[in-house]
Amino acid sequence: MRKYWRIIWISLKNSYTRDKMIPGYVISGLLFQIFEILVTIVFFNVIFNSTESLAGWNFYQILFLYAFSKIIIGVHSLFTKKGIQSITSEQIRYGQLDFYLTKPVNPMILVTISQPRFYYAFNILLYIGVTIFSIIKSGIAIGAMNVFWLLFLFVISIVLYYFLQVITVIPTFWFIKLWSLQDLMGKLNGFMRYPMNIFPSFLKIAFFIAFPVMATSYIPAVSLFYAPRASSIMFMIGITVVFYFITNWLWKLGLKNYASASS
Amino acid sequence: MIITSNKICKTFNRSDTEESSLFKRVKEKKEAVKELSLEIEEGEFVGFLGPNGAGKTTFLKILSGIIYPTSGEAKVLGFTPWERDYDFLKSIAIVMGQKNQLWWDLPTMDSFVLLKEIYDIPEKKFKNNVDLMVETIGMKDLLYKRLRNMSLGERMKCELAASFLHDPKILFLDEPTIGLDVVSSRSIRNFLKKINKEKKNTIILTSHYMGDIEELCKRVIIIDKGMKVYDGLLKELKEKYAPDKEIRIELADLSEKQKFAKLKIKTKKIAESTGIISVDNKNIGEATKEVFETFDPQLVTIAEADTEKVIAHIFENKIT
Repeated sequence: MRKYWRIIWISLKNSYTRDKMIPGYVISGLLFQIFEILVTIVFFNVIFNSTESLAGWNFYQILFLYAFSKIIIGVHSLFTKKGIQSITSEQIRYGQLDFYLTKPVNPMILVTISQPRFYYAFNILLYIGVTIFSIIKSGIAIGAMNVFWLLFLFVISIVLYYFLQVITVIPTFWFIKLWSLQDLMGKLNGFMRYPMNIFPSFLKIAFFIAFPVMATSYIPAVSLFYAPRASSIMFMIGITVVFYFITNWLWKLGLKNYASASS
Repeated sequence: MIITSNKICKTFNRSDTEESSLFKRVKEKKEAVKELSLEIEEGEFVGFLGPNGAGKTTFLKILSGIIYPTSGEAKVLGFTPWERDYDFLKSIAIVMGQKNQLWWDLPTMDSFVLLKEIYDIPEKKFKNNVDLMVETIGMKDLLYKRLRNMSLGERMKCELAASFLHDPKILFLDEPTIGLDVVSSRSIRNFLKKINKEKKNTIILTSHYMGDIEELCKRVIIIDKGMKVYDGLLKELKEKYAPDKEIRIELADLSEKQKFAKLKIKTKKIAESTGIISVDNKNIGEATKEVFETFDPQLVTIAEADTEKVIAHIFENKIT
């Protein structure tokens, strides 16, 4: 494990070396995020002008859920998003995965952490600010245990979200080029910003159990605002373990189908 | 034996672009490697030859664990390559002339440091190996240069240096001199010669340039359409399939040309002002005697068979 952290650290330093040359890119990315937050707040205001709560959640709780989901997506963008996207666009199509397969480390992890983008750290800081603001303004009394379970489940959610992301790109081993699946995953992120109970049952089953993208933000947020339930925590741990096995199994199956590319 | 393969086959399933449509996929099978068996001893420098599409790269990818074979068995350092045991992967390296494994936007040294972590190379060994590479391949100026700012030859030097950082026991080189000019190719060859002598690695080299093979490899394996057509010493290959030698004589004037025409040897021709005699090993003694009696020895040269011609002859005639 230490080895992977060292690789991530060096990759991040390299990312800084590469991206410091293009500050415009970093600044425009940050401005875009600020704009998105403002538009979302306006959108939530429009909703909350017609209702006092969404499935029992007030404005600031919803804002927290939104910002919290953005932190999860931000961590993914910082460390693994570009690497995972490269699987759908070039690694398999052009046979660039070859070199990752000849390295004495887990190729799935190596390829996904190989292209971090350090400037997403600024976005994460921005959203941490929004979550703190939402917690304070929500007016709900929050204890130390709530914060502990939030942080614990946040780590689990990051891992689970990573597996979900990897699963979406594994079909590339068979179809060679599949940008559309990554786009689909981007759309599914929308489920992370609303409380589970506003959705109909079939969507709950689909995105809370079968492909639990909704659970990654909702369960930690519930643990912060309400008394943490052992069943929810066990569910998160259990489903992450299940998806660990599913992802690894599918990845290995995909590798057996990997044909590289002609020289 | 450090490498053994037993009846390795690899078949690719591909869509037939002519027959397939948006709603109908017509599959076609391509056998890239057919029942390929071979054995390679530790420390050997083996040349892997074949025309384009012969299956050389596919076979190297199987031996290095990148792709699975369709059937057959292989052992490399006692490991089954496609199981990708970490101890196995730490003991091999692969360099492909047409692909970069170093990070495009980074200075070489940054890529080296990342490889140091990936391969768990101890600090002292890493430093010694970087120093050795700098000295042997002359890449001091390249260490802090970004890969994307380098010429093809410079990039290849860095790729090769990177592949030796962890002291691999086996090195797979797939056309490392492709696209390089004469000077860069020579520099790469000299590096490989030196490093092979110093580190005693087993090296398997595929190349279309006969200069690489002749200078580096004693043994060659020739494959065509996925099948092995020759496995043996390069010298024996030449003797077996190119028994003719060429005697070349500089013909300065008309009288020399007339003398050349009167020689008893039948297999002769004149190209510009050079008389060329092709003669097999059996008759070489008799032919040279006659030539030296007729011409000034300083005008005569006896050439070895051209390896490129021998290989082309094998591919064209499908010798098995």
